[in-house]
Amino acid sequence: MLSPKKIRHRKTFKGRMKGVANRGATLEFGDYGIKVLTCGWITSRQIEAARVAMTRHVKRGGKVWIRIFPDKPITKKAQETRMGKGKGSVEYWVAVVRPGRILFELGGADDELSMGALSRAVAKLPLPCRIVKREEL
Amino acid sequence: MSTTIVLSATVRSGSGKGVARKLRAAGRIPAVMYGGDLAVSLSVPEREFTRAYTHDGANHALIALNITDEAGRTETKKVVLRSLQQDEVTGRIVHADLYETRKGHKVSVTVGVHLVGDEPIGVIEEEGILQHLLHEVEIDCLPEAIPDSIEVDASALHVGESIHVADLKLPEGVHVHTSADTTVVAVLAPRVEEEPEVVETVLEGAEGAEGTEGAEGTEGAEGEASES
Repeated sequence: MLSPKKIRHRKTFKGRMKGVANRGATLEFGDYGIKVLTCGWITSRQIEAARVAMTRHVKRGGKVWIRIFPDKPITKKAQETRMGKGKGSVEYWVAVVRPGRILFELGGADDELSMGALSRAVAKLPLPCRIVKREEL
Repeated sequence: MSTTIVLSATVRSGSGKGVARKLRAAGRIPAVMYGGDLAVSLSVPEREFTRAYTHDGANHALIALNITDEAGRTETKKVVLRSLQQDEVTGRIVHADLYETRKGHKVSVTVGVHLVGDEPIGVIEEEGILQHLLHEVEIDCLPEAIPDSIEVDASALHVGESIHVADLKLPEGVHVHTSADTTVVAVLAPRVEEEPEVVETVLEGAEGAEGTEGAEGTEGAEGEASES
């Protein structure tokens, strides 16, 4: 699963999400992509599940690009632990996404195969998404 | 050569986000036209403009813009679309920049790069993956000579071969801005699905006790990763 190799701070604040994706909101590599419609966190497990769903559906027919990276550590206190005694340990990693962000791109596969693969990937994600297609010039 | 698209526009007097929002609510798109003597603030009908952009190729074609001013006079200007702002979520066009062309002066526009011909040999016989990397190129040419698209025939490509911008066959009088060594299309070798490696996260600049804590913090995640 995806996680940073090197980090500057072990634990981060929860943070607030506002606004829309100003960068990473257009298709850059593939012909089809998944655009997220709300803000939220996407865990490294969800990214991996979506990637696997896509690659298994297209088999050898296409190439997948992952446009997000889970670089935010999320902590959790151990079970049956009393409150206090400091922040919990890092449990998993998430990518913070804002509306409009392209999460995945797919290229090199035909329309039907691409739509099938991307709809399977959308089913693995926790946020409402839309499949977008490159506009032909 | 691309066809000329006819669109109507009206001169707008106000500016700012309030005026722009009211225009959008009324089904019009705020736009600006420059390149001539003065920059002119305009508004264009959203439906017509969006249709011209998505279906008729208004992003590279020459547009004959019938501009109606506040006094009701109509003037026709030849323009090209210079830039477009779209809503990140809905894709709705928010603003358009139009560039007024002058006779005998070259304009720079972005045209699509389309694949023509059969599937590459590398895809049919060698199970390669066709990768179309460059979908549009910026070109310089006279307004009347803007091509509809640049066509690329990739049917002779084997696995590991590619076509670059320098190999493109361009119409006469067209000059490409995009770097000549940029890859347009390539045929890649098929890749077997591989599981990404689980990497241990290292705290940057960690030393002594803190470093140990950093390593401990990631232990949980790593352990779970190996379980799944």
